[in-house]
Amino acid sequence: MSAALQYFLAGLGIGGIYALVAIGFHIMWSSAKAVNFAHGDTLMLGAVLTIVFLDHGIAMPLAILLSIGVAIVFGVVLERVAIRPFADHAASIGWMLTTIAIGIMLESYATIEFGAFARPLPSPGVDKPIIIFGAGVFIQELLIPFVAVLIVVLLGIFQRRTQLGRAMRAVAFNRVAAGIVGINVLHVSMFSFALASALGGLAGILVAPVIQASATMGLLLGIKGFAVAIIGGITSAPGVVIAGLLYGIIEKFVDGYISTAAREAVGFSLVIVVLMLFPQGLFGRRELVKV
Amino acid sequence: MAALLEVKNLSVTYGHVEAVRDVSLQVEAGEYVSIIGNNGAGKSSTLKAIAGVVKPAGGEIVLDGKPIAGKPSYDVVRLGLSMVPEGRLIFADQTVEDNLYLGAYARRGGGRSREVSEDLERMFALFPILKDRRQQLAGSLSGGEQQMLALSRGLLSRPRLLMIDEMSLGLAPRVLETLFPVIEMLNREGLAILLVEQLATVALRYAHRSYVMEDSRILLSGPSRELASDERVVEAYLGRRKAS
Repeated sequence: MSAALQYFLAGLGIGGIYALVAIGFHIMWSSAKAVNFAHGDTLMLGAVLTIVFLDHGIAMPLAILLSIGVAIVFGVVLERVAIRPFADHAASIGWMLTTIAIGIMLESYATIEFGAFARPLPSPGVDKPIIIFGAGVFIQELLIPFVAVLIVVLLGIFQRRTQLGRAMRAVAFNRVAAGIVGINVLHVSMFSFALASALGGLAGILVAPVIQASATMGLLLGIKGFAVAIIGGITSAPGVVIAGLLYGIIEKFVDGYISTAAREAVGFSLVIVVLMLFPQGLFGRRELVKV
Repeated sequence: MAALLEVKNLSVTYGHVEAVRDVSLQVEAGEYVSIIGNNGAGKSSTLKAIAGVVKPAGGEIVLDGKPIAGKPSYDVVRLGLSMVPEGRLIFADQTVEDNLYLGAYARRGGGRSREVSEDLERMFALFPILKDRRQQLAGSLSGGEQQMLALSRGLLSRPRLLMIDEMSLGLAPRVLETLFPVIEMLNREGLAILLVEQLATVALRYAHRSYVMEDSRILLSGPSRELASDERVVEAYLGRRKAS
């Protein structure tokens, strides 16, 4: 019983990260109809930079803000140089290569500067575990899914209550219609990438105390976040969060009851099965053919 | 006096296909003008080029003295020209109210000003059904209601020229009998209208002047009343066509 609870709580923790990454994919897809495959490296950027800033004696809150700021700049620049020039037609897929390329370059650069080893990011959330019904869990792990759910709720309110939020949904729905009411699609795209990258940087900072920060931490987190976005239905923000939490929980159960080695095999097999049954993802809306 | 909208020698091409060839037209302030013609004659492409949805291959478009050819649609709407697009293109996954707020996107200050709220009430007075459904998703509306929403959304930018593309498409005659008088009323209040319409009978009944497009060009133009009795128009567009 306490083992199962243990896996469940730890699963929520890592699942919350997948959810946060997937929200980023959702936001970027909605505005640009493109996938930023360097998004995992945005997490790495957030985590690694926070550690570097701390090394330089900068206080934690400022270090976090600065790192998120750099992540935002990274996202905006990436949209400008790696997405926008390569996504002008619905059939363009150049952004696949360009975003992967930028991710690899960033990872190499981080390896050179930061070193090829993992380092923990100190956080009061991992000082000592709290015990719930015999299951030990860090505050940090409980905080992560809470943040993920909070973000999707805030995003929903933002998209219903503000003109910019409505404009984001309008651009996702139909770019021509968005243009004729006066929405500059490129501005909305830029804002979306800034927002997604801020969330990515935040996710990296939140997860680093639990899994440690390294130059390569973004790769698997990014791919899993993307998988979660696809099975949740990339058009639905609540959908990808639910899928993210579920995926994390399932992973931890496989970890615990079968083996760590089986984790990725079972996880990604599940992704394939879900996609066969639900081609639009569990909660996704069919993308209409747009004029 | 210069016209509100002046289009000179406009051409639009899609790849190698010339959809609009050497089209010139004017709309005066407060005028009601229609473009009629068969499907594929280039009417919609003309409107789309004026609205900035497609880039013209050549020609001039001047709105109130300012050249706008090639400007993107989000800039054009800020200069007082609004389009109600073919197929309506409402934001189906947002509420009726949010669609209307988005209609005011181009206005200074955006959505939540008192003037925008007042304009929303004006739209609800024009189309009371929209008030009843203001919290419903726009995609759940009937075709006629969606057209009312698309019109209202177009009006919320407070345009001086409203361009309406194929309003009658897919709508029952009964619905059109409520929509066209509303447009006529808006025109009487001073709003210039440029209507693109396959239903020539209806267009010629309401518009002051009309252009007839055929094979990407303007074939004829003149006061609607004269065109309605022009032999070529009667034969091609009115004769065997069902009046709505």
